[in-house]
Amino acid sequence: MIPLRRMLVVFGLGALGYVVLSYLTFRVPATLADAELCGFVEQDFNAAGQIVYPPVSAWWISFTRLQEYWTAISVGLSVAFIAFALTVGRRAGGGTVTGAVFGSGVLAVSALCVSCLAPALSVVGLGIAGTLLAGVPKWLIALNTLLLTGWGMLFLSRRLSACALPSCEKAQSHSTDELLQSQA
Amino acid sequence: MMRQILSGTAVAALFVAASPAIATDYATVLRPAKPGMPLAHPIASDDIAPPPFSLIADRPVRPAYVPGLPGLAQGRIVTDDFGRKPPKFDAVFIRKSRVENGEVVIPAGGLVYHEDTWGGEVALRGEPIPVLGRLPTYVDYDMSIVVKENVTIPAGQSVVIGGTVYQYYATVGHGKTANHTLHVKTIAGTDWEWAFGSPVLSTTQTDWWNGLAFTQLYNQGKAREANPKQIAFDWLSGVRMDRIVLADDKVFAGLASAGDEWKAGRRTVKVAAVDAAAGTVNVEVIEDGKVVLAKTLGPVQNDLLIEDTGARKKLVFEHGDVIGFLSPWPEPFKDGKANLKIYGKAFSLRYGETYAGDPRFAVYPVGCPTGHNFGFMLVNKEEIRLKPGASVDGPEDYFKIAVDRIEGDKVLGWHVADKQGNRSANLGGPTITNVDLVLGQGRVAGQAILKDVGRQMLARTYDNMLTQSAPDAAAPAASHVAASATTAQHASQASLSPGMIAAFGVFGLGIGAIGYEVGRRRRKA
Repeated sequence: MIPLRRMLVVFGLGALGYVVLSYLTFRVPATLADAELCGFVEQDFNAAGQIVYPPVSAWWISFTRLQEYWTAISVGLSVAFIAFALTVGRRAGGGTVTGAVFGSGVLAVSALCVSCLAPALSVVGLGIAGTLLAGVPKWLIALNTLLLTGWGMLFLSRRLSACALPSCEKAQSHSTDELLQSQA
Repeated sequence: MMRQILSGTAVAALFVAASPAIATDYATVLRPAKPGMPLAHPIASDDIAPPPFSLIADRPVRPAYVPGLPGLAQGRIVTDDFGRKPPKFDAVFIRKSRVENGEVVIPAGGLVYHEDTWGGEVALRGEPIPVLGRLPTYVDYDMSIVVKENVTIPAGQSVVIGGTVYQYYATVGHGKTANHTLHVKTIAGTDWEWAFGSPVLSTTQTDWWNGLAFTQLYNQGKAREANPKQIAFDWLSGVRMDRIVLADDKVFAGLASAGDEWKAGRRTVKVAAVDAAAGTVNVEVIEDGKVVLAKTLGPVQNDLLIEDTGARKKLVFEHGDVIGFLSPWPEPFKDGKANLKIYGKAFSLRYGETYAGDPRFAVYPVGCPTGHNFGFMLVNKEEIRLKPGASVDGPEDYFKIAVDRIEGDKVLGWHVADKQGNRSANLGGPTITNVDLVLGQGRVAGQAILKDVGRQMLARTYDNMLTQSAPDAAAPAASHVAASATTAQHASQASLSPGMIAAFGVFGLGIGAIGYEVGRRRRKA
């Protein structure tokens, strides 16, 4: 049984968290060079060299021009999948879940590497991923995240539905006993 | 105390030297084109300060050169009423700029827009003159001759007389004799050598030159002393284009009879009478039902036109934003009718006054000594300070100067852009310490100023090419790199980069994996 409602909530929290983080880390660029990286153009500056928009508007313009909403969706999907994997826990096998969580984390980080947080990540050595993904449109990253997390959910739910754990354990122990007895 | 007296004396001496001549009637001293011909322009009764940095020493220093931008037209052909097609040029100059406390500073007078022309702009001929993208018609002008007494020009230096700049350029010896050469330019930098040669003074080469007096049309002078150190003039004259009148609307051009009238805004122009025999036409300008101007135009004095002020003004009427004239060409009268040209929305560009279209700038029409106009300058009135990322708009936002990156006293990134946003290449670099600029290909930017700063410009351009193309160039113009990176990002989105190939690979794997899972479930079901 896939806990869809819980995952939707976590997806929303993850995406909203990214939006909030993007806002908190946003600084109105002081130079044209910085501004170009944030999606601004010369026309956004006045004669005195200042961005013409108030800070909140400037952040929103940057957010939309850089299509950061795709990154928010990617992060939300990854976080929701992590929550799902942790929920099913050991029932789906510890190694499998660990791999799923790790893979989803990689997806989330790769989405962040081409986001507005990329400069901060490059400080901790993740700039290379950003460079590799620089040419990949954010909608494609979001679509890939959807596909991979979707596949992960299908895979984990198959593992769960293929073997209801309590009866499976009993059956396994029973057959093992029988095997041991027959060997004896 | 002694210092105060000396400085007071110096100021007084400067004042005397700077004041226009009053005691002598220079209208009788200056030489006309031929005996009996009047001077075409009156002697100026006042002295108006030229634009800042008009001297040769104030030319741009190691400037960047930009041939033009799509919105700053070069060689734009206009056609006057008689088929003459003079090319026009947009030019931008920056001089005396510097870096100070992490900012680029352009002093008042340092930023210049110059409307330049390859040939003289002639009144009464319906010649269009570009004004920041508009194309009004040049109608009339006021020119005067400024005369100053006791003017000394040290060797190599220059002085401004009216709208004319004289530079003591060279001394050439021959045995025990020598001659001394002047270069004569406009305040904008137009060098008159191509039209009139250069005056040469000499007391020792008596059979080669004309002594210590020179005449270059109405730019004239009489020296008392010329030696390798200086030339001292008793008096020196220079023309000044005090005003040009342009008009945005063409109201009428053709043959008119008595009683004909035309509306020009809230005014009406009416032909009161035509006397072809006398060569005159009476016109009236009517405002709110009242005649506010009544003038008899003509007769035409063909021998003196177009430059002679008196002869020209006899043909022109002007009131408010209406101006018109009795056109002498092809003939002033035909079949008892007068050949009139009438314009509306007329406006003036007056020497040294604030430009009405953008009060941040002062305007200076540029005059040719024969009486033609040679474009006009718009000059910033206040100091401009630009931090990295800041820009300043030219007059009426016709162009923009933007500073992208400064490091210490070096301007690593800056550019000029036209109104449409077309940008020049990065003009900054690791050896660039100002934003001095020469943009254009007209008489000044493409010709005269090359004599003054052409070598510097070429050397700067080559040096900057070297530093910017060096593989280890220290982040030459990071802003430009940033801009390029943005472009590269868009470009790479369109092509298959390794990242894109990997992304599409993941996409395929994801589709395959989901297909597998769905298929497996279907089989079980």
